[in-house]
Amino acid sequence: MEHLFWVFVKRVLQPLYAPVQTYKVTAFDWTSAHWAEMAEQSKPSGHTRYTEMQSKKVEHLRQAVVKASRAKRQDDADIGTFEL
Amino acid sequence: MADTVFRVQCIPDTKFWTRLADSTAPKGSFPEVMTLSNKISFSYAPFNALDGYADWNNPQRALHYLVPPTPAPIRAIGYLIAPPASPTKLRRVFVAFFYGTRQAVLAETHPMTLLHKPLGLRLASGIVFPGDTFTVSNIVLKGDDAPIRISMTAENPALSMLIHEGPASVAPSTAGNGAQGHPETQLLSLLNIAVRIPHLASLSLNLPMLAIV
Repeated sequence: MEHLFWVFVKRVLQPLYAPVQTYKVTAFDWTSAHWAEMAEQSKPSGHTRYTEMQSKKVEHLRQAVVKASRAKRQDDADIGTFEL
Repeated sequence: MADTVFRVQCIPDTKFWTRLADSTAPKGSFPEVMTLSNKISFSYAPFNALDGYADWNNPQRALHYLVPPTPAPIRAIGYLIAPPASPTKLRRVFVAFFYGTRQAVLAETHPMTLLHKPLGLRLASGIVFPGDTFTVSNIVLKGDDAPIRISMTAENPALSMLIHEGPASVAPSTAGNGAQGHPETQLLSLLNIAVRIPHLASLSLNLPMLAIV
């Protein structure tokens, strides 16, 4: 059965088959530096923008909290008493 | 071969597809990193992924792709069909070996390889990864609006193969297993493959189940 399969495949595919690129895979430099470049370029471009946006949000939130606490401290009548 | 129903998705990126259609002999620095629409990064080199493919008497080489050693195992392969470099030239077919969700090695292949899942992947060192270690994506990528039509004829004109892009299936729920659970995928056009073999009836592959019934 297996022989029959190979005969069939060979008869169908061989006439259609033609090599398209003849260069050996070993002729190219698949170094770790190349894979590192791939990893760098495959990082989603939106990732840095998203991170930047998130850090800006956090900074705004932090500034708002600081501002609110300062205002609260100034409005607090007991604060002077406490310090004394 | 019948368990994959290829569908065609268009991801326009003129720079990427023009580069692919015009790629010739290995001049310049290869492998080259090419990014498709900021979605997928390809490591492209014009190596012979079909080395040993037609060694019919060697089961470790026949119908196997030759691949370079990658940082992680190759878990999926997918096909890309470049736009024709000129109106008289056939579209070139490329195979992508995915070792990450957005990272793949890219090489040119023969349209005939769309007929079946390869039996395995082989490293130059001789190590073979059998067919159950990777899947074949049912999405074929292209970058232009023109429908795909690749017609090939052997020396004996009675043997021919035609690959053509047709409309999406009218009955998505009966499409092949690769499209199940992804309604948006079922809206994509189909890649029909017809093979005419001497002394046999024509074979039509890659049809949704309803069409076969």
